[in-house]
Amino acid sequence: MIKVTGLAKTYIKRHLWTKRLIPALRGIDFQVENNTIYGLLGLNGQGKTTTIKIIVGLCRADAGSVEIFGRRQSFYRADLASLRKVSYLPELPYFPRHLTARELLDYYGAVFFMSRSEISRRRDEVLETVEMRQYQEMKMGEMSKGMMQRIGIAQALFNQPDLLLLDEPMTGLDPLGLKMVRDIMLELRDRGKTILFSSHILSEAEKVCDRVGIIHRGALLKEINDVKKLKTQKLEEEFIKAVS
Amino acid sequence: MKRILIHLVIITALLSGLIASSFYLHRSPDWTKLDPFYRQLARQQQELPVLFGTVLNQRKLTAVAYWVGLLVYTGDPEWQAERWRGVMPMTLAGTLLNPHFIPFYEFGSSVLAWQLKRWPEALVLLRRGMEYNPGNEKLFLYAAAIKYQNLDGDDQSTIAFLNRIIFTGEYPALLPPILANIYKQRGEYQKALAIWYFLMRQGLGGEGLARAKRQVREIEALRTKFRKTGG
Amino acid sequence: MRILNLAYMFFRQQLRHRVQVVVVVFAAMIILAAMIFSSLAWEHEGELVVDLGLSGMDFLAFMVVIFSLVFFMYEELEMKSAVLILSKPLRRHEYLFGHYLGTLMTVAFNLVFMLVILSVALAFLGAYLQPIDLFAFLYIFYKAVLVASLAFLFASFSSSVPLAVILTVFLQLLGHFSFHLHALGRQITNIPLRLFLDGLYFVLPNYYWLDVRDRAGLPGFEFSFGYFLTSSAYVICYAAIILYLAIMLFRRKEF
Repeated sequence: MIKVTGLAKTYIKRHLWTKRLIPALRGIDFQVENNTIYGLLGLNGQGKTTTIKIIVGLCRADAGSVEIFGRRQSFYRADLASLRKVSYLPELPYFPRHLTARELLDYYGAVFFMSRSEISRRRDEVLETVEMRQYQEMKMGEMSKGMMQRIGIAQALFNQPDLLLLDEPMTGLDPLGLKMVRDIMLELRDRGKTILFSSHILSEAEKVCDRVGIIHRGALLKEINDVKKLKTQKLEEEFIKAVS
Repeated sequence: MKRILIHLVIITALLSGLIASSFYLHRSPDWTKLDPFYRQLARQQQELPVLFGTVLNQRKLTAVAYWVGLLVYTGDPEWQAERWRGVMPMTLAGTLLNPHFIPFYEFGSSVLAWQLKRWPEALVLLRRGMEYNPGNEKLFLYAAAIKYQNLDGDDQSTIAFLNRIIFTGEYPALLPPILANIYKQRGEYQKALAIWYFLMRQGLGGEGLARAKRQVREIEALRTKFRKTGG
Repeated sequence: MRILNLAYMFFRQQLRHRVQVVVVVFAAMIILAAMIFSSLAWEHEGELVVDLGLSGMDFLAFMVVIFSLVFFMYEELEMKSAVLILSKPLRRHEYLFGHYLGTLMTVAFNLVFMLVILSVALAFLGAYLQPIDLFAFLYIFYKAVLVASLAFLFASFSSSVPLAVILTVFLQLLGHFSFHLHALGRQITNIPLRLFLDGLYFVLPNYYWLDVRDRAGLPGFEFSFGYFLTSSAYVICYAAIILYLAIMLFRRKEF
């Protein structure tokens, strides 16, 4: 489903005539199989978000390649056919403050070549899924962090994607929200979808992931293939062992 | 390769369109016609606002500002000591900026001619107005009235002349007040009052009406005083 | 269709941001001017109100573009609400062009309201707009088309909002200046400097050509059908080239 090969990225921070190089990824390889939940685990600022952004085409990789559904992705010329079946949820998503939840989803829906009736049907469905139907007339600027996160998940489900890229989807959610996200992820997996998500909340990752990759200082240190077979709290031990 | 070619074709087409239209537009200001304005602007060492308005393509707006400034200036008794000597430069600046704004000529020349008795300057102003606005007959009537008064120096014939213009019905708006002022100065209060009442009946509004009322009050007071003292 | 949808949403967001307040400012200005001028200009108050009104519209249209620029850069690029839409099957040029159109929609919406207010105020004074005034109005929109394309160019390459605003304002001033720079160049004997001034004159946006509002009726200017066609072509070509550059830069932008 996703095949990442030799992905490298260095951010260049320019300030007047000085230039600072900040390496973010130093050659990462991994593969996400169909119908699995893959967790990218790592501390903050170790390259999880950059990896996801490169996959979805928001950042350019200096080296390496990304394949989705067997098609090679390019930064300058987005492959719209694969992007139609992909969805992305950024970490702490920020929405246009002056649109209501309903307008926002209509806005995103219009990008997906959907008909008007299809858009309104999908909108109601996803709002139902994230339990936000009653807040659909609320402006995004008036919503709490948790509500925004739910709308973020709703927009990620909108196009019925085959592949979901979720960047820290658990951030800012209350226990009920956490459970909801977990249930949604598991249900999607059961329906044959593939999920790649990043997180530093190990306990949550442990509950949902089939496979995890531990990313540290821009390199993939370790992959654990069968998370389900690890004993409770074992993932945390593995993680600390890998990064220390 | 094909994509790059398409981009190149589009960019070339746009650039040639841009260059062609730029050259056409570049030729469009007629320098021979523009020159009087720029020559005078340079020669008369106009104040900063004129240059500012010109440079920012705000000539008309700056002219409006000059117009308001002129009205405030002429209405301010503080400048009486120097006999409102700024009227001519201000009016000239305004007409340089927007030579088609008629009130500059009408108002400027009547203030200069009848109030400040600077006939030649008033005529210079009107000549400029006629040059730029050859279709405006009212300016010719003003010029004629000034010329008449200037040549003759006799109020009686000016009065006759002004009366004749006003009776045609197509008179410039400032002539009746001028006639009323002449009557007032000559002590013919009844006639002056008749003109002001006539103007008020014509449906004056705002400042014009207030001015007419003020004049009527003044003339009435003068008339009573005249009756008491001279009988 | 998708571009129009983006444009409409951007337009709607700006209206929610109360950008229409410029119309209220304009209305207040025009009503005040009409009240003052009606007693100050014998039979010519209409001309004064039209001159003032068109100049006001020109300035306020520029302010609306600046507002759009700030709003776009702050909300979309700085706060990164753009990443959500850009990760969807949408090309970068569609995104940028959609927002550009949205800006123009906002400008047009406000300008039309201002024109209505101006006409009503004139009707009260017993005056009305001349055909050339309507062309002047169209050219105010043309100027906004150019300014907006430049604003989006600066938004694409600059990461700081104040820098983009300063550059747009600077070019706005220079664009009004360029004709006079050229006139100045005619007096200069230093050939390289003269060539430089001429170069500026042709490369900078030339608002002098578009200020029909200020030049109509003045000596040296004749508004003709040919002028209308070529100046329209000028605006379209110039804005298209600038937008092309903006899109090229925006395609390289990373989030």
